Amino acid sequence: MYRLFNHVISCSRTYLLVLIASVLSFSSGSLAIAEDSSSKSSSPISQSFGVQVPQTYAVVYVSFQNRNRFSWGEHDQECPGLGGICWHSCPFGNWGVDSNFFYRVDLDQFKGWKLMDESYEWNSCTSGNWEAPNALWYNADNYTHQQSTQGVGTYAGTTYCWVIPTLQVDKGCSYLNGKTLTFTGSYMRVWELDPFDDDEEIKKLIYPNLQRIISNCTVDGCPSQSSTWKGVSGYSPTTGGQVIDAQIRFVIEACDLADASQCT
Amino acid sequence: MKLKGLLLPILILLTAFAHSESFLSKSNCVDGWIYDDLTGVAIEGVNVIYIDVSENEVVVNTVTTSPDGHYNICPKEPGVKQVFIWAPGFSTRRQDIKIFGRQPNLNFRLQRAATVQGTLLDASNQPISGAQLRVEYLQKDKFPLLVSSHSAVFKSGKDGLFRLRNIDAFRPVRLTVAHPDYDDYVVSPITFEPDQEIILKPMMIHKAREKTKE
Repeated sequence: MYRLFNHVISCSRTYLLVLIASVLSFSSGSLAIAEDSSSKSSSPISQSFGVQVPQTYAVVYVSFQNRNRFSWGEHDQECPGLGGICWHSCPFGNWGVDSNFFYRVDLDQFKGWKLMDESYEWNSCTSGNWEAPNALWYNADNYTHQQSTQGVGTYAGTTYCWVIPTLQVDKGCSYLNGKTLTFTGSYMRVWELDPFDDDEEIKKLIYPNLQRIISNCTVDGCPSQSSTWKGVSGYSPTTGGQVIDAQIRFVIEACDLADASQCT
Repeated sequence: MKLKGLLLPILILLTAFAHSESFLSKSNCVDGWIYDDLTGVAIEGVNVIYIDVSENEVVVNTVTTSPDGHYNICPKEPGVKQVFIWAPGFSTRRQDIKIFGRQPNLNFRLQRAATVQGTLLDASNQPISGAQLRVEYLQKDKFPLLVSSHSAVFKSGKDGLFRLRNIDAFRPVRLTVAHPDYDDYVVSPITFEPDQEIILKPMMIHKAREKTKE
């Protein structure tokens, strides 16, 4: 456990992926108690011969990344309260992301540009004392816009258990070569995070389909490979003065073989 | 002459066939509304995830509910489809949906998720910051795609405070506290009620004697 957490802490860039992988491995341990033998799946062929052959899966580890993050327009998520009292670190705030497969967490899911409290944050109050242009509160386009300085960031992760047909089990992960993985309905719902108060939604960014034809996998695994970067195809709400922008993609980080105790 | 006479019926048949094809493809859809089990109010932004699998492609589809809580899914093939439903603030739900021909609306009610918060202290009652708190479900979701709908890991703040949200109701979890300088602290199993906000008593964790930093 200690090793796991230490690894998690030291590898913030791949943090979410490690988390997902560890959740899967931990779950498999607990399943030994939770599952009975009836939950084990077997292939139709094995059933027809009356032999229970455990199903084999290629577990594909996927992370979701963003880059080219921008912000402009009006933000009022981290403005002073009544009497001008400035809570937290206003006007800067840390932004998180709800997405298809992961909930917003305080883990640099939407990295900004201003280093505050070990996180790269965004100016989240653009009125009053913090109006543009101002070199203290803005860092792009003659100090009127904000642009992340932190390159590619990871905002979510998931794993998919891909069934390998019984007669092709010997191919292992190379069974995936030439097959396509597609995610539809991808989105990032960006929030200004307040750990002990309600988070405030900024904008929902909607994206077109993400797709990758898997290649170069061997029996034991797959090299890292990604879909192409996609830009925003829509916003929700479509109105409002605050705008953020970013590109996203998914990355197939690895492949492992697993049995039914780790997959369903 | 005879051919001309046949032309019209053939055209009618072809048109009818085209319409039936269109009807069949639409009939592979299921729609309905998703409600808050506590208030009965429709929920916007619920994720409804289903997977289309063919020989050479896996398509992971996400549909999110509209402001009036409506969803509509159209899998490529009819049959029994596994659907995973989740939204921030609510417990997750996995459902097998039969998709054959025309169907009535299929509505769901989601239970509220639980929140747990507390304070971490050392033996001298000093707050411990930077500890990792982790929630793991003891029963795995029966879904081929892993969705982490809860705030799986949280780092305690400078004052030792932590808050873990979106934990599924009625689902046993293990809560683990880990810090490089302290022994691991595990509470298991814990089960939460819908919408429950638990404030744990201050948890005291002890200095590790022989733990070495990596």
